[in-house]
Amino acid sequence: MKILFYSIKGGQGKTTHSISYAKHRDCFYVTNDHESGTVSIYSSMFSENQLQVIKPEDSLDIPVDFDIVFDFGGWVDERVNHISGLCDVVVVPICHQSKADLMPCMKLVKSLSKYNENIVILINNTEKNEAQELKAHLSEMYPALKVFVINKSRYIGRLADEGKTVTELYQQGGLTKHMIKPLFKQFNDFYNYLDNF
Amino acid sequence: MTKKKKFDDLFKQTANEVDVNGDIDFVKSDIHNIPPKKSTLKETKEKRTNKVQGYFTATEFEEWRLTFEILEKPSDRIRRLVLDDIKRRREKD
Repeated sequence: MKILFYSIKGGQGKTTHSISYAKHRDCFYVTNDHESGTVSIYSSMFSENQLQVIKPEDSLDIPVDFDIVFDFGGWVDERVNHISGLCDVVVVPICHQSKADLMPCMKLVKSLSKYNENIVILINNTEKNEAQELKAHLSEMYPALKVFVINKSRYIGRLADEGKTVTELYQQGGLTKHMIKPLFKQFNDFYNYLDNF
Repeated sequence: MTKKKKFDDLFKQTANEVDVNGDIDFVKSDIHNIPPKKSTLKETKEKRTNKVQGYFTATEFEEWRLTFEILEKPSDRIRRLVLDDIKRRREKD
């Protein structure tokens, strides 16, 4: 299994959701984000060597028999066409607040579809009503693609702050489990789809 | 104009713009086109080659060279996985 989380714009939820999924899948996590603190924030969540950083000048050779979640983006990385062609699925997250988020997402879907047919759009950290409207529009525009919604929630921020995924918070039980149930279902639906690859 | 109508119009407008001029040229992008530091890569490869070649035949090593290039320090677990896989392939052959 190889999955790429990619967007050309920062702040769209790539790292949050790629880290979370890599934990769920207990696999290698490879990022090209070598400067914004991804490694220092999240390295304690992984065992030794599970989290790897690829710098812009590094060539990229992908081992064939390992499960890997790639977290690339924030800029146009020219290695992405190679990686996206080799991955089983490409996740394009979008955190919609304005056209400034929507346009890069649509440009990316248009461009990446040349390299990979299995593109998933993940609408996240977006106002609830707007997320559903956006999902409807994107589903109509791209009928062959899957579109998932994960609602905005303060529990998702606990990944960076406390190193806890939504699944782990849910499994804690108690009031948190009750509060987080709808969110957990959204994560589950998304993960169940990706787990097929 | 309702909020929904505004959003619908925004979406349509964005989609049209992307249709006309929405291609990202990954191959020609030179934003991060920094040439590799060849001497450093070569030294690293040679070090790794000398260290790991004892475990594999030359063909097997070339096949698994990719595995070690992407990872700075192959852990024992990974080395074990690789060796198990080679053993499995040898038995299959």
